[in-house]
Amino acid sequence: MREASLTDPKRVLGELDRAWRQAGVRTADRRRMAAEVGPDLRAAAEDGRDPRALLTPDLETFARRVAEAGGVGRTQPHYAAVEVGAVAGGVLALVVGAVSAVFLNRALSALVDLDRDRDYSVAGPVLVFGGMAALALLGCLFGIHLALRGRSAARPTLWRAALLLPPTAGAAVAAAVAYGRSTDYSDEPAVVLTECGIILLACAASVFAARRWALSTPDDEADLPAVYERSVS
Amino acid sequence: MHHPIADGERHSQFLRGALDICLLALLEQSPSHAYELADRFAERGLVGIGYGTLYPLVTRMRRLGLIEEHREASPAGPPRKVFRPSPAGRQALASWSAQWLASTAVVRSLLIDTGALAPPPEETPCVKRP
Repeated sequence: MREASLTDPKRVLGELDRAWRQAGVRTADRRRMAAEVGPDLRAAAEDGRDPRALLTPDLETFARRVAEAGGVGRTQPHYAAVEVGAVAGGVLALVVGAVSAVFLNRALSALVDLDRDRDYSVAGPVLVFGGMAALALLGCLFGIHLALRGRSAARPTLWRAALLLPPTAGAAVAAAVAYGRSTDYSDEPAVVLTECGIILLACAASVFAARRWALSTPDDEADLPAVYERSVS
Repeated sequence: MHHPIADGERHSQFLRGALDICLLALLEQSPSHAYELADRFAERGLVGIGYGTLYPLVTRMRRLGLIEEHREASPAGPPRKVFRPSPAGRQALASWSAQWLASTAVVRSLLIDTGALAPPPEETPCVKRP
């Protein structure tokens, strides 16, 4: 027979849910854990035990330990680190690419003498600029990888950035070219800076979206450490 | 000198090192849900291991692939989720049990050799080095 002083299991579950919400646990994970703990609380009540007393040492600590043990606690987004890594990696790779293109151009010019009266395919310049863009993308992704090393949702962020960056950068370059055309392709510093800013802002927004998208999806089991830690909390 | 509080902490430290092995062993013997596990520990003389310790431990070991879950029909109410060791968990149990035996044998031998622990009547104590 249940004692009058016993806490209702539903009320305890409600408090647990509040504690998990405060710990940043996502809705799906809260529901899953509640579905597991709920029957145990009801079983305790049916055995004449206080369900709240089951959650040692206290409800808040229990909620936190379960969230940590399940790897579903609050995840630090590290947006600033991701953006800095992406921009630094992308810009550095672009500079390396540009310098390499200049040296390559000089070397090839010394080797090959092109006929100035002839029209040549644009494939060459397209290949060069495409290569630089690809290099910038790889540099961006490498920068994200370094920034998120050892942190949660690193791999999902990388995959989503690899998916979002190319079309975003392409659209941003087209927008920058359109802007440049509107100024008759002026080489004024303000115009050039604006064109660079358009591309930079678009790519930064894309990286932010990739990180947010990665954090909003369930944990990737492949990110768990391979070695089991023997320590028990 | 007897320190009751310190003894309680020592006891907890000892248990902490073997809790995961004992958990896997009990689940291997008979799959059960977390609520039942606390009583099973107490029946074996390991008192003080509450649901508040066991459920987070089960959660962590499941996350690391050492424990798997399956639904079991309940006599009253909807099916309950019960836990049992996974193949990786069984491997870990065998390995850690051997480690535990080896470690405790070394400690026991040291305690007997140094006279801190009296040997069982059937054992002959080692000859002490000068």
